[in-house]
Amino acid sequence: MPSPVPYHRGFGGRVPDVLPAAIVVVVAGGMLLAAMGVHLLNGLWERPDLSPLASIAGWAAASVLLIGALLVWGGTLPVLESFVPSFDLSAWHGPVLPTVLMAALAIPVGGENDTRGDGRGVVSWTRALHYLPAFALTLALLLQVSSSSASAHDAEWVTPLRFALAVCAGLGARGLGQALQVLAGGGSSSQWPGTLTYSLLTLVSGSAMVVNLWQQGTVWGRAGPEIQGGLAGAWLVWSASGLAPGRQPQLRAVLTAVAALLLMAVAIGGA
Amino acid sequence: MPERSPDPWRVLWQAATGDGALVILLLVTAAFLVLSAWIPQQPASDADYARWLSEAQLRFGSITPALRSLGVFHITRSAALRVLLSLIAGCLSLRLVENVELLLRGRQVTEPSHDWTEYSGQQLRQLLDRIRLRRYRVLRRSSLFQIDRWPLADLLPLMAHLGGILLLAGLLITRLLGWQVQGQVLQVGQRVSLPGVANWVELTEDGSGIVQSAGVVGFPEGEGPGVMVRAQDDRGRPLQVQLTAGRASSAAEPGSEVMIALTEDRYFALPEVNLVARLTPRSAEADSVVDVQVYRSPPGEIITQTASERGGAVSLTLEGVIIELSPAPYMVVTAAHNPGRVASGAGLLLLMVGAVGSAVWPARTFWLREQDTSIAVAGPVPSWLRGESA
Repeated sequence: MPSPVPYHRGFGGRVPDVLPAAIVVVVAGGMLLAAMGVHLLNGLWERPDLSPLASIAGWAAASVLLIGALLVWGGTLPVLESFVPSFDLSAWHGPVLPTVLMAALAIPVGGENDTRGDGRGVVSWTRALHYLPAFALTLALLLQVSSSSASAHDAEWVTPLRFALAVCAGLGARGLGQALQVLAGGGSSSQWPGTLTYSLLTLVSGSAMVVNLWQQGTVWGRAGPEIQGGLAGAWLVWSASGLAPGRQPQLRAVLTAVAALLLMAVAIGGA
Repeated sequence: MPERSPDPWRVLWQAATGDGALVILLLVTAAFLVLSAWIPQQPASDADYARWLSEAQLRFGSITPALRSLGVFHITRSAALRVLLSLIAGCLSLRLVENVELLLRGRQVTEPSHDWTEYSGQQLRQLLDRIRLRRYRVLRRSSLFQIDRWPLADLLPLMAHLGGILLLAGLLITRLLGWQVQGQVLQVGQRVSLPGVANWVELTEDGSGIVQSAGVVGFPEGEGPGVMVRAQDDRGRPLQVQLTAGRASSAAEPGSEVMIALTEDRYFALPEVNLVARLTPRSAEADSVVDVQVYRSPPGEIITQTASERGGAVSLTLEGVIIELSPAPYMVVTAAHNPGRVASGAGLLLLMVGAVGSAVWPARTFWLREQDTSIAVAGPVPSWLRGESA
């Protein structure tokens, strides 16, 4: 039986067709690395302020990954049906689908950098941690793109629940970046990524459960044990993070980080 | 004068209703659930036991027996998880009582327990206008102003707690009184009896949907090929068709029309003319082509073999006997009886509204005090005011 992965013909051999996807991922990862480097440099030298460069690199990386996510997730939408086939998306499959969306959403663009800290240097280098989850996801994406398995093609990845989980986990990764900053520098940071993730996670998992109850008579329906335990566990830890005393931001940050990592594991985990 | 020891009941109440107790319970429960997701749990049915055991041994190797003795393969059915859920239900109930009290007490101005800090920026009147614009409530007692979001900020946690209790109660009712039957194979118009009095599930005549008795929820899990078999002799007289025993079913009563779900290779016999036919679906799709082999019995020699159209339709004429197969795909149905469904559903809705509302509009009470020439603030001041406090 032929492999489900298409191959380039020519070039004197059978080379897996991962080059376009790998280029996109490497470009995005490079930009994220640059953004982190700029913030680390800003921590060393206060003048000149290079943080606008980091924002530009972040926006560019987010745009590249969002276009990739839109193409691979929107490929089945009627609006994009005529547009998508002109791109070779054969390397974007299985767990790559949630990871590309998560990586795009994890990039801190849109106002989390209004951090207040005790000293400028401390704030600046810890801002690099905002980009760390997105960078780690981009590395994971590169590994996934370069490796291919038949099971990834067979499993059901394009479902509304999977999409919603990937969005939650992507926003949760932003919360993870904020939590890492709190743990590293102790500076207060904006709350909205965490609040948005928790609210979205509650609405997504709650709605899925209500629909399952009415359609199938059970809370979890046909969801696998990984999704059941992982999703419920992540929600409980995030709830505990919200209840943790505000005067212990480090404890809150640890719990937020654990919940975000769990959510990311559930989103990338097997279908 | 000796110091009075605190009332132990009050201490117990505060510990049980405090955030710390709930945080610990939630974290331990989360750890149990995450472990159950990572470690394959032993299935309740014997049918899946062998597959589970080989998977567990492949994954954990020689430590499987040790893990088994620790009970990590039964986490979801363990007494420890049930105790944890009971404790959470108890904790939520106590917090609900306290929430009701807070809601009722919300019309009174209380003294802050926080330190006062000077506030510079605006006049008191302007500041209060800004605060009211952000939908805060302002209560006044002489020169002290209490600012909060009553009643919404107290109502939302109450809804979340009530929702959690209802959800757990619904799950308990389901656990005690509910049931689920999986893998029921149904063909058009077929009805199967389910546990309990007069419970059933049926596939509609056109095969497009499922109907069930009150209180039962049936939902399709899959479908596959199936045929309706009819036979007649050369005089047009219907012949009896008997489904022979297969691995998945027992022999059925003979009839002039027999429906056969092709979950595997199946045989039927025409005893009056000594013929036996074997049906083999080429795939598990509902419109699969079916291979048909007809034998003379005895001695068991093949008379003819052919392939049907997609879906299974075929007509054979053999020694004056006409055998007709028409498509009758089967549906695999799971039926569930969940008496805790309403409680669980209502609990989930309340929990969603309460938890999201509490996250977006957290309960926040702070105080302003008008001093001779300045204003002092106390409590968790919102960020849009914090920037202006001295």
